[in-house]
Amino acid sequence: MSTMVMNPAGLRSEVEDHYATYALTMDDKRPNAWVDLFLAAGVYAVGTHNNVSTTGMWWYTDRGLGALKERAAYTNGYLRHNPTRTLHTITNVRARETDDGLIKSEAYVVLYVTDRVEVSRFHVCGRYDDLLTRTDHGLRFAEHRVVLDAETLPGNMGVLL
Amino acid sequence: MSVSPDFRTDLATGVVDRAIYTSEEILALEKERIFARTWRYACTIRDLRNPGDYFTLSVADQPVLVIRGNDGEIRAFHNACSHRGAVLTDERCGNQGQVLKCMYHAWSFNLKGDLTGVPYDEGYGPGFDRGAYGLKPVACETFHDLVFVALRPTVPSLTDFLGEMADHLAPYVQGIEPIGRNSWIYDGNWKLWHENFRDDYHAEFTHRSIRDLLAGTTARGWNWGAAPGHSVLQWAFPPLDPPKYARALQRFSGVDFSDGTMPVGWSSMLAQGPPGPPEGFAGGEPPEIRQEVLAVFPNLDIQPGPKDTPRGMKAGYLQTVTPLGVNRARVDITVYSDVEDDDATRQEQLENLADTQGSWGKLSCDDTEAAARCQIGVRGEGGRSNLFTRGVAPGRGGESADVRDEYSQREFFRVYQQYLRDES
Repeated sequence: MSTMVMNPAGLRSEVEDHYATYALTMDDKRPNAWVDLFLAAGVYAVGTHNNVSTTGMWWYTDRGLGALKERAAYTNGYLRHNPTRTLHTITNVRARETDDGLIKSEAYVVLYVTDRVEVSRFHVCGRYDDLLTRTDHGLRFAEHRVVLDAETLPGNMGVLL
Repeated sequence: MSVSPDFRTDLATGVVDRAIYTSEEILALEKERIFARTWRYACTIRDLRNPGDYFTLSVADQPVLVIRGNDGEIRAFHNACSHRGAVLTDERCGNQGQVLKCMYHAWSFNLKGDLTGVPYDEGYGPGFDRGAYGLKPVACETFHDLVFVALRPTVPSLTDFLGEMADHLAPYVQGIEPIGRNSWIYDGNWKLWHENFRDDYHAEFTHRSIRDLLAGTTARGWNWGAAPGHSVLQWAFPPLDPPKYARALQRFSGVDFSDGTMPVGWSSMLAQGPPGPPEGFAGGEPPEIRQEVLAVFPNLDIQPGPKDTPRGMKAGYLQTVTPLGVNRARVDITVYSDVEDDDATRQEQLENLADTQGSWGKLSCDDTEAAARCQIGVRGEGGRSNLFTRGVAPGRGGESADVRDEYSQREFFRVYQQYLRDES
């Protein structure tokens, strides 16, 4: 996809607002609001840089509303039984508009968690590699891809990213 | 170490002393007498497709390298330079070309492990014998498409080691292609993970979000302890019901499915197959879907694709658990498909299996939580033993046993105890 090099502060601010809203849907445990930030045909995928160096990357991929709702339902249900507070910190945002009217955005994400018996701690970090689109209700994810830095992951990854 | 552990129970009865989950001494014995003496799954033959392709693993805390030679042979070596011991590669897998070269002093080895290069070797004098400094080999055998290694095997033949499991395993591990890999670390003893893959008693409770879709899953099936130390679980369930699953998910989570949206993640594997009975089915009602989990002593689990699905899917996964301490373990999982599958099919199968398995898997997360909770509890004084006594008929179970029985775990502990008490 060809892109226009265009990074006005207004666009970045708009995308940063979107990410802040997105983080709150996860940290405030509002799974329906999380789903609403995707297009009905949106894609949510999580993988690592080099987890499968000979055969391609292992992406956890949810395609479309049914899969997104299932992911949100499972994660929210899991967290009900494993009460974990999360803090998603999203930084280093860059965004540019593409020729076909989408917004290509990138950011860093760091997730801290606090569960029942531990102090707050770093959990995992990585990058967002996203495609956004404008709708009457604001920005929505056409694709939200999360690429984690770790190749060996923490045991409890029942979280949204 | 030359002392046998003095268990407070006979583990083979299924009444298991909780010290095996918390004792540093027993962990040391497990490494010395089980992990160093048994055959350990390393990788598939298609991870080593070309000369120089290698795969690394840790066996009883020792670094091991498996590599394909120019002659097509797959060999295993200690992954340590014969000069000063530096590991030759710390990558998980890759291609080494024609030479294994140490980064420290550039000693070089060919793909057969022979020492071929020593910079400034005249300094070692005229009597220096390169032949004495090759890489130390590790026993290596294949079982169809699977590669196993052993440091000091008590059972010399891999086929003998697999015992009753060999015939059962063979059809599943021919013509498989690795398509995805994932690793994670959890806070629990390694056996808690492996036990769980010999256990279908927990499934309808631990995995209730998904098992609401699969009511009756554990109503029929069987449980078999396959000597020596292995096991097979098999269960059957009716075709899936996505609307029922959607209602259950909404109750479970609060996520709104009232707009008619159907969940399509894991269930898509079965629910979205072509309509009608599977190919070759003669008539009547389509058969139930049958699923198996195979466990190979001491730490390999295999879940092949469900039989009799509308798609007849072959894709499945191979999984090992490795102790990192008494209360910490690493899980490595490899998803495979049929070698004949095209790229689109492989991707679809990977996504389906990744949905439930691995560090994010909707089933694996539940199991990780269960292991972590057990580890916290067994170190207290709440009880001295864990119970694996379900299934009261004598023997090792089989087709007459309930899938929720625990013949599978008792067979594990019978052999586990034998190894730990073997002071030879």
